[in-house]
Amino acid sequence: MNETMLRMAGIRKTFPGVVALDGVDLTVGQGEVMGILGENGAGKSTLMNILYGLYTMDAGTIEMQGKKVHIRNSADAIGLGLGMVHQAFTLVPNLTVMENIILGSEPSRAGVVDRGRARAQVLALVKQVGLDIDLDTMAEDLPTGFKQRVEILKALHRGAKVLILDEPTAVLTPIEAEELFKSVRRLTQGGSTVIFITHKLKEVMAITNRITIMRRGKVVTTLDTKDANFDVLANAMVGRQVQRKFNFGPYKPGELLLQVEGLRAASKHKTEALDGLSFSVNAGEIVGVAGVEGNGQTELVECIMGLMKPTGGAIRLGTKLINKLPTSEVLKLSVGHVPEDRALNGLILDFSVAENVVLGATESTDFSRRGVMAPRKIRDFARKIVKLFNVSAAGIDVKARNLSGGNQQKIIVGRELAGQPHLLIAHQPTRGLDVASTEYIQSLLVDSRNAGRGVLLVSADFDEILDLSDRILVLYEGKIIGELNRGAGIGELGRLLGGIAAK
Amino acid sequence: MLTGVLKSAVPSLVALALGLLVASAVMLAFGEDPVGIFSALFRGALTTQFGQSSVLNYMYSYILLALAFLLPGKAGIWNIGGQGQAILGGVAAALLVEFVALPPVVWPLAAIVVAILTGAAWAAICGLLEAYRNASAIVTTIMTNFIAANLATFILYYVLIPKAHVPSFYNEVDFPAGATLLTLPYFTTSIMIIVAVLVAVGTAFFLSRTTLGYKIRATGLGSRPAESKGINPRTTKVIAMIIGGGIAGLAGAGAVMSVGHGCGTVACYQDGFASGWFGGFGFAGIAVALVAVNDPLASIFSAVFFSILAAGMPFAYQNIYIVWAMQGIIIIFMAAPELSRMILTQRGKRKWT
Repeated sequence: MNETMLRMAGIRKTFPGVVALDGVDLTVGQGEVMGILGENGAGKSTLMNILYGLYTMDAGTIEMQGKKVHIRNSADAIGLGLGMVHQAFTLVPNLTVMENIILGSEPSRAGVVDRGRARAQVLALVKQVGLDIDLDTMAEDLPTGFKQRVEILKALHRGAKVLILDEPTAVLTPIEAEELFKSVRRLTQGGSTVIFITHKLKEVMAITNRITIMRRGKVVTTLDTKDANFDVLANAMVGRQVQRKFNFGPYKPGELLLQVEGLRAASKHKTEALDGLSFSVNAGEIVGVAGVEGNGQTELVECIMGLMKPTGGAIRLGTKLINKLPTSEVLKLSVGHVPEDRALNGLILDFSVAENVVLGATESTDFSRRGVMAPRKIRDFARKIVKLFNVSAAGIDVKARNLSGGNQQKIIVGRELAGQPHLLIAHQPTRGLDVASTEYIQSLLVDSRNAGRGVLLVSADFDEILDLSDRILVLYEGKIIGELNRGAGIGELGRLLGGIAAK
Repeated sequence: MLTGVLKSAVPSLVALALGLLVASAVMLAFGEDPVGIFSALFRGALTTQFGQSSVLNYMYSYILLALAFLLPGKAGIWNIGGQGQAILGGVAAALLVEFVALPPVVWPLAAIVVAILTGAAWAAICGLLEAYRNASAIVTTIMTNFIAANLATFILYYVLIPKAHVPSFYNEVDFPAGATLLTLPYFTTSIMIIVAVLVAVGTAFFLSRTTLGYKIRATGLGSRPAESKGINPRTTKVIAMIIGGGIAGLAGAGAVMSVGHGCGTVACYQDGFASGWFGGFGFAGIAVALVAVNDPLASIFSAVFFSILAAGMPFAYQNIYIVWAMQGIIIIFMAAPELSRMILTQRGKRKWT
């Protein structure tokens, strides 16, 4: 390692109910590319947001070039020579590249932007770091890779010596990513230091000098890239907690419930989110879809549930083609859906428990007659759910907002299982839950499977995938790049998750 | 539920007190006598027959327009267009009455139905624009208010008045007697106040007890969870706008079909539109709803207060402008906290993801 540029020591950060960072140490040398590798929720972004002044840490110290610094906001961070390029770009679409680069640090004379000087500065900068770009193009007309380049130039124009790139390739095509790597190499040759956050194994191997691997808010290890290989990284990244034991019945897959063939879908960024993937789910099995978030999970579930229109391929429930059905019709085909974000998509937080358990079911004759709801029946049903699924709530009239995450999730799972659906789609069913709630909800999934239902478990929690799935499909960049059976090793899973297809 | 409403009334009462206080201070600053003005205002509105009738007249419009605002609001869509929907509803009712003669009883009922349908159709345009073209109804309803007002003026001067063949300095038009609404005993006002209270009670029931009302509330409080459970938020928003527009249209029908707006024994367009509707009944209705924390039943009580202020104004005419200023101050105090709270929660929902 070269001379130390940046040292973070003993960084601790808690959010209500969660320890996001627990004594994290990070040392970055001058002129190197430091990779920070970890799965979702490992704490990578939290750590970088602290460094950039977006969060305040609860404990710990930060030193830049041997001097202790206090970073209270991003202006402090910029003043210290830190620059951050976020996943979501912050360019002003109807300003030119040059205007965007100088925005916030415009050279000016008597309050007027000195465009001549600005252009000279930016041209010099572009030449110095070798990132070619046309300064007069409107930002909105740039392809994604070039937008990112503008973001980098903007940070450098503000005097960044340490550049933080947060999952920079997430939005890039492979060719653009290759270009980015070239840019990063040029920057470090020019003396810049780069912190490269990613979950992709190939990338850390390709671009970094050293790698720090994080897991569950802690640093697992830091090593030189030349000493690393995929297996070492995969094992360190995924890790393994104590294996939980569930009461699995014999594996007897039954009738075909869900069949997906050649499914394609576009994401919001118009890129290919699902790239022709195929799989099936049978009765009596849990099929786990593993993958780091953002590899197409959301689009996959939304396509099945009729919340998004596929651009190609076929989805069948049993033998019925459901590509074009609205959500309300899909739900009638005996499908339960636990959405990925309980607060955003699962519950109406300002509705009471009783109102939430009949969400989408009010038309049923169980709960209404001729358009008028039957409050007594609804309340009875709510009490039943609360009791059956161990929800601890102060009553069925409390707002969902006032329940803990675990209890909120129990209400959702209870609501979905109450209809005894043939197929249950559970998307991140235990994210952010405490251990007891997690185990309870996982046991409900296992019970459903034992009772002969099909479960599609989509999760970024690899422990959960490994513990529960009869079959594991690994989703990577919109494709299923591998299928594993129960008992697969974590190394194998880790490699697939990092985008390294099976040997 | 009732205790909840009472609890939510506390800020409104505090705002009322503050509003009266600040308004008094302003009056004092301009050398006016607040006690005299207020007592004249309240005495006039509450103790004279004309004042009482006037209170009821304002009240039905305020109640209905508050409902026209708050019902779509429950679905998360801002209907600032009650004004325009009411105006066109009233014009449509007048056109029917002038051009199609029907037997008594059927005649006014048909006019009311036409008014409701017109208001609903007008509101549907903005609902559809928001739901399917992402054009915020806050903006489009305000803009279509102007279109509605000018369209109404055109129809009034070029169609209705020539048709009625009653050239008059005031542009008053005798409304056919068989098509006017019944008048309440004692008061010089129509039965619209009873209709409005019934509609408010019906709206409360609709929102809390029917499946459609449930879907509307679900869409407003969480369009994404609602959507993931098969409730189409776009359709629901449009339906809520249509219902709101229909209620506003009903208010417009009342304005042209009620006897006793100051036109003596006949209903008249001039009074129905020019003095009240163009002056901003629709916006007063929004204030009424905000003060009532968007509760349909509380809107009745909130409308009482606003109606007294409006109806008492002619009795405190020492300085009409100071009375208007006072009304404005009170409205700001009463509506602002709720308004800002609503905007805040809307913004909170659109968190960056």
